[in-house]
Amino acid sequence: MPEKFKFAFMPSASCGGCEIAVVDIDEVILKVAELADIVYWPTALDFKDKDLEAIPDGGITVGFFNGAVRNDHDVHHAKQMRRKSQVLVSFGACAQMGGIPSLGNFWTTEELAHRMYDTVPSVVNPDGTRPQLKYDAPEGELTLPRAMDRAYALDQVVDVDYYLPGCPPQVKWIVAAVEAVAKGELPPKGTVIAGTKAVCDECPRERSEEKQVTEFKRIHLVENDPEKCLLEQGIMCCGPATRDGCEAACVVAGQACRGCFGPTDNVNDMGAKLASAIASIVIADTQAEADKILDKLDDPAGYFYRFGLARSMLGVQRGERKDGDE
Amino acid sequence: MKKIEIDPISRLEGHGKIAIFLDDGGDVAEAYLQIPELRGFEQFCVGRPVEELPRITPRICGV
Amino acid sequence: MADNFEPKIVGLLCTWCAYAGADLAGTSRIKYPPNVRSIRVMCSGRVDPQFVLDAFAHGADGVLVSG
Repeated sequence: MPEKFKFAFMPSASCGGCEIAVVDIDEVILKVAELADIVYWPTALDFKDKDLEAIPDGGITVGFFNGAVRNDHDVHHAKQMRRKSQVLVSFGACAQMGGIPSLGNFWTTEELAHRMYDTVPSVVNPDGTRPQLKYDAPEGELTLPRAMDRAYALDQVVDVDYYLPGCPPQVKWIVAAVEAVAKGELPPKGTVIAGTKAVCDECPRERSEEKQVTEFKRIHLVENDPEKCLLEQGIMCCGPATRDGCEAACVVAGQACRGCFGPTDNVNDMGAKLASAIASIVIADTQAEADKILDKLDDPAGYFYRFGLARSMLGVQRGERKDGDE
Repeated sequence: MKKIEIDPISRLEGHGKIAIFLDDGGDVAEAYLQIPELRGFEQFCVGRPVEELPRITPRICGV
Repeated sequence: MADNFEPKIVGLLCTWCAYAGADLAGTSRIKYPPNVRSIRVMCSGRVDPQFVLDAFAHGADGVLVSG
């Protein structure tokens, strides 16, 4: 029997949903177990940091990294995974482009901490106690990782081979990726393992030739027609600028797309692309009319950059990176 | 004093580590649970449309 | 800001009007400061917000969309 592949799953600043998606492949997991040994997966099995350290460089065939990079411990893990993995896969929206945690990039880390430890209504902290990087307990020293200035995508910290997008990644693409590894038929480096068109191409809802929006409405305030394009009904949907491959799962379920698969190829700022897509369907003759329509779009930043703020060009001055640097 | 460190706590979502200090007799003198992760949901949920929150807050924990 | 600040401005000019205008300025030998780096686009409607962000990310101080 040929030697088994070695898979590792590394969680970072994430919710663990990506790893549940791995379990969601159901009976295919038996095939995976036949094909590969899992050498590190703390979310599902009893692995510790030292187990990862013990793996020699290049000792992991495919390393799956999920979650944004939010503190220096995550950076350490990202570098470790890069060194030890022959193929490093960015797994899920957070690793690919920052995901939901990167919504925090609209604030400084200090502002986030101030909210979390001082002003949030459920916290009582009259002394203003904050987590310390080092704490001298009477019994000995305790340490915590340092939170970085913002959330980073994995490829802003280390070199990444492939991307499995989605929040969470879809079973069929996980299976496709594992099959590609098993057959040794790996796509070119940098490939996003998903569709190549926009969610609208997969969306079963009917749409007219020319999209026209004259009013944006909040989804709970309209009775939406399940057969008709959500955008045409005035409900903000990120489908036009989002990569397909999810079979328009949210839209089929009656919810608008929020762009978790990230942008299509050759788009370097998803929010800008979405802004452009939305601007082109708003029908207004004057600036005042356009303003009036767009004013109803109540949280554009939250719609355009729901999952992708870390990868946006906004807030990254002239290509400078601070904490993400080598 | 002997220190036993469990890092990370496994088989759950979220990051945590435990430091246990043993006294000379080998009994537990003190144990500390630490949560090393900061994401900022408390802040970035503020001001978002309320109907969007069921699509943001599930990402606190997906397990 | 220093007095000798020379902004770099990226001009995205529509080929049918603004670019033709810049061209006419040239053939009429009208001088204008070299701060504007003009880029011809086939229509100002072709300008994507990404171009603007890209220009700023590459060090532009201003972006002029004309058409």
